[in-house]
Amino acid sequence: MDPELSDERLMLAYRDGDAEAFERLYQRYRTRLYRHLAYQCGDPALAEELYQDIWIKVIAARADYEPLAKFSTWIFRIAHHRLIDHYRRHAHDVAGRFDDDCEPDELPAPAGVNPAVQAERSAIAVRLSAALAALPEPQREAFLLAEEGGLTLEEIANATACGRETVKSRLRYALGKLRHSLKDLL
Amino acid sequence: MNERDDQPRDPALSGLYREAGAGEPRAAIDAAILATARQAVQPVPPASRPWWKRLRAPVAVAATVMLAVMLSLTVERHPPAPPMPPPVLEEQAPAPVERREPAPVLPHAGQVQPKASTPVSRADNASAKPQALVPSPVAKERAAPAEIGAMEGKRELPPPASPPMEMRDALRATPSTSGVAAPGSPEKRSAEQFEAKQKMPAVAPAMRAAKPAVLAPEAWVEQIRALRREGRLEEATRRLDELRRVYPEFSLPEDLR
Repeated sequence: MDPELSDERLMLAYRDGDAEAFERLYQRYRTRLYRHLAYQCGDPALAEELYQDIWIKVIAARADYEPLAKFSTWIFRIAHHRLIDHYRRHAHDVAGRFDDDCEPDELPAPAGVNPAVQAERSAIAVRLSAALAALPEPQREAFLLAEEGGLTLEEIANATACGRETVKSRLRYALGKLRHSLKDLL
Repeated sequence: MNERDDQPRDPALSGLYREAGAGEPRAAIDAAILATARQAVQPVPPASRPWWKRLRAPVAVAATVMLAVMLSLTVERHPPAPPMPPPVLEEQAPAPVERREPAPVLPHAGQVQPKASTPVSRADNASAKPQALVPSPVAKERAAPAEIGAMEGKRELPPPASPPMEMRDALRATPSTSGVAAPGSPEKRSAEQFEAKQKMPAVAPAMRAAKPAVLAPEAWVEQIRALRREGRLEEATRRLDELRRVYPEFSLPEDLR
């Protein structure tokens, strides 16, 4: 199999019954998706649960898959919806923060991170994790989709079902806050 | 390119993020997901079912077809029984000499069942009252002597053979009123049987009750012998003629030939 096959072609091959294509696709998105979820929810156990659910959805939706958008946009959109579902079930206030009408900078920061987790990580990782955790969820999601998913503004807007300018605004706010929090490390 | 240029970026922050980010899913989760993915695209082997379950549908279809064929063949080889022959109604008539004369029938039948005087009209106008019916010329001809006899106070009992002849006439005179059934077809025969059954109680219920089924030829022979022994030779001869007519293929004993 051609190693340079695009994500979309690999997914189409898997749809047609090629299990090896899925393994290659999985390796490409394995770390990106997991880190996106881990930083997004701040809980490794919960991130693993969401991570499995998302891949199960990808497997289940293979028969209906059509390359209408980039595979990365598709899978991170699934991740976005899964996160929203989780927030709706367990944290209704967080789910409401993803609305377009809500001004991101006025949102409160989430609760502090677990000290035990902080102790386990390196100093940079702890600082970065804390800085990300301090971001409002929509801003954090926009940053993670751009960094981990490598998505453009249009693709992030498509994945998160909001406007391009909204994504741009969220991303700009996220970068500004992270720069401010990690300025001694930059 | 404009889209990328338009996108807010910070290369230093991205480098720091890449340096710090080390989280990965556990190997067990990787294995579980990959196993699920492989299992999803594997062709499902056909479930091994017992032979009687696999052959249940074909056997059911074959049995149904066979049953339908056998039923159709049975119906074709054994058609419905033909209608009761007319001699059944007249064979026990004690006065066959007068039975073809319709007149004596009607006084008695008219007393019992006024509608019985015009069976044909009854059949055609079952719901009409007898007074309102316009009798056919045949019915008028038959009814006239009866009425005269009734006016003259004659109370002669009509010969029992006449009502069956009336019924025969009625049956013959009420052919396919619907005009749908072909002559001689089973549908027509069934319709005639039904109409005859419907008319019989109105025409002569007492006589119908008194007349059993057709006598067997042997019993008939014994009856003729008994008449001869009693010296009723004329009646014996008449019964013999009837026997010959009803059972033309019956071989008569020597003493009756």
